[in-house]
Amino acid sequence: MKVAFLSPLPPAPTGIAAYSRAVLDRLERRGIGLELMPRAPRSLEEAERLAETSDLAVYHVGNNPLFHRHIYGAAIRRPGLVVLHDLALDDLIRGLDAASDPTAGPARAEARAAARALRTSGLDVDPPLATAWSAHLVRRARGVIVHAPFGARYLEAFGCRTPVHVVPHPPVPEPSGPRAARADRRVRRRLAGRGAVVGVLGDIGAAKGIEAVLDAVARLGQPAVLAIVGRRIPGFDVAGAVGRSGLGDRVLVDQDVSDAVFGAWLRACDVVVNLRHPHRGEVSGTLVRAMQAGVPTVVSATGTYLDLPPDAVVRVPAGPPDPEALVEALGVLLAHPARRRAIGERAREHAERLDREDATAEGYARAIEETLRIVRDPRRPAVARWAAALRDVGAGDEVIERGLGSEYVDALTSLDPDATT
Amino acid sequence: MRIAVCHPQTPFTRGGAEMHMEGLVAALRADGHDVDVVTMPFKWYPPSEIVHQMASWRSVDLSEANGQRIDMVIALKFPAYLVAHERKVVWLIHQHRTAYELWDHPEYGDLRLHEDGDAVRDMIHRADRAGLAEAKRIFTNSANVRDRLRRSVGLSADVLYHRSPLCEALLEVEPGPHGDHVLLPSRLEPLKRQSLAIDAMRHVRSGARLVLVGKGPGEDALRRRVAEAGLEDRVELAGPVPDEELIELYRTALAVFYGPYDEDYGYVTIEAMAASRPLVTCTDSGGPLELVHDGEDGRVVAPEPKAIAGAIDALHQGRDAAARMGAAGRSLVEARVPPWPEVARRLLS
Repeated sequence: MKVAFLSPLPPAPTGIAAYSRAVLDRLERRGIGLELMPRAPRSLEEAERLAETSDLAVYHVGNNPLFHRHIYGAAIRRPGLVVLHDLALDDLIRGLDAASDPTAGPARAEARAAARALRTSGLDVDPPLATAWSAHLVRRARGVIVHAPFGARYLEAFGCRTPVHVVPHPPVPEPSGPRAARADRRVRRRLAGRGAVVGVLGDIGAAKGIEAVLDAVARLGQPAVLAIVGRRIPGFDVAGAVGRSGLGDRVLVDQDVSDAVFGAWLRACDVVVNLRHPHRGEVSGTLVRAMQAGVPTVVSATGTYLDLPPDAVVRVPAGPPDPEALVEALGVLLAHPARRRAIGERAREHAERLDREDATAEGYARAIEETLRIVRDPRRPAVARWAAALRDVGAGDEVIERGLGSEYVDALTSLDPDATT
Repeated sequence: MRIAVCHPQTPFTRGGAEMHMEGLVAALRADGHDVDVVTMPFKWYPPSEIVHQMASWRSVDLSEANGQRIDMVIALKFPAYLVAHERKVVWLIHQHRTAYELWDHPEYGDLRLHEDGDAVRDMIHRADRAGLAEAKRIFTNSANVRDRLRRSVGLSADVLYHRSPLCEALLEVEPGPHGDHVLLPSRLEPLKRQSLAIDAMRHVRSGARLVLVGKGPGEDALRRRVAEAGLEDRVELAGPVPDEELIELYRTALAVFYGPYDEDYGYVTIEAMAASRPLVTCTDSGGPLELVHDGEDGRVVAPEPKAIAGAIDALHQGRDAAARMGAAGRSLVEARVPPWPEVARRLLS
């Protein structure tokens, strides 16, 4: 059987490309008895054709319209297994709207309806998640993969009934060889003679709470330096923020670096600060790498971060980052190397356990197998068609809970698809 | 064009909606189109059946048939208008009335009496808002139906009247003399209020008689009512009659009474006018009020037996006025109710 694997792929400048490469490597190593066809479609027609000619399509959907517009369109038209890299998808839907894409309207309408369910669910989410932009996509899907249990809780909270599989991020292969060695030397040179290093790595944008981290480092008793490393995000003035902090050369900014240099900075850090506000339900690739490297991290106590083992990270309160809370957390870590090592070790053990269990490959294999079973169930098209009709004519939860209109589906699903008569 | 006319059918029941559908199909075929009727048996009780029927219509695939594209669907009634098609035109006869204006009517509102009635009503409202709004165009068979639609789900529509087969036949024949009988041709059921006409006959002082034509679930009760009032010699329940006989009954009537409760459109109105008969209707009768103007082409009176009796007696004693109103009614139908070719042209425009 053929499985189309539609995703940005290296060298596309997005973390999802690196993620997909890692997943494909893992699946290849494990072996799943299926022919995987990885493609980065350049048009909707190509994406649909790939889906049509396979037994199942796995759609990697992120928030950037540049990389995901066509994949999203095909996922709506030819439903399959959706890997939801960003729970919000707000920028993607806006991009579809701007391109007059016909899928934007249903996405908006369903997002609003699902937002009402979300409000009454009691799940506390930041604004981008309060409107359930992914509701239409996941309802159409035959299966959904999210990276953390929080993703499953979020989808359930707005009423998603599509099977959801929690599959952890794959370990990120760290560059090695001469290039990595050169990168290590470069970073060591920049840090020569400096004190402890606090790092903020990844996309350099407002959601990382960089201003609060700068403020906290300025108030620390220890003469730590702050390394800000990663991809430049338009609209965020990192130089201005550094200038306002008064930290001068205690801040080192290295933007748009190679993966090797990024890894070298990560390993050089004594503590990595990985905050999110607003939180978009994503799992940070930087965090995964920091945990693999055994570097202790300070994270926001929100969303997917709450799914991590409590002794493998240090949490600060959710919401707009509070410099005072950061001073306290960083102060303790920098003053107690043994504590840093202990937290780093827990983090590394967590990452190694997932690696040992091959959790990503196993999770993908199960999700693909389960979704194939659903897709190939002869009852499914009839049930899906009836369910779509019921939904179109306004059958909400109350109607379904009363059993109105569901007799046909109940009868159909009680049939044994393997029966020979 | 290949056109599917979608029409839910209550088995063993035939009324204005069926004639409407047949007239439409004939007109479209006469205009050169390939037309077929898509139907399902309609049953509205218990409320769970309504939900099933709504989903059934919605799940039907009318994009093509036998490998050939269906260019257009024209849907006439709930729940057929919930069908999905990229070129859907709705010519609305009525919505599911007990979910709307008849919801809390003490006599006609049955949906609210069921345990699931409120949930199903809300669902019907949601379905109508979505299923009607997605239509490329909405026509209604009367201004009354148009106004209900606007009030209930906020959608606008164009009024498109049409002629019944009898109306067309009556326009082809010369009007007869004004006799003594008042004609009431309609299905025998509570909403048509034949009981009101029978009760009025208790108060009629002139020599006018009442002839009820049609059949329906209310027949036994109406016969008892006539007997209890001792009106057997002045009220006749003629049952269903052939069209030729009905045309003759129209041509020679003194007047036609048609006083249903909040009727959608009402063929009887235009048939009476086509036959040059004054129509007596009631102030709460809905559709007929769009065409009948009191004292000009008929009488509009309170839905009370004495008021109706007074109008009948006045027409019996003033045959000239009856003739004048009848003639005015015929002219009005000819001017305002378009023939089928014109209807087909507007529907497809």
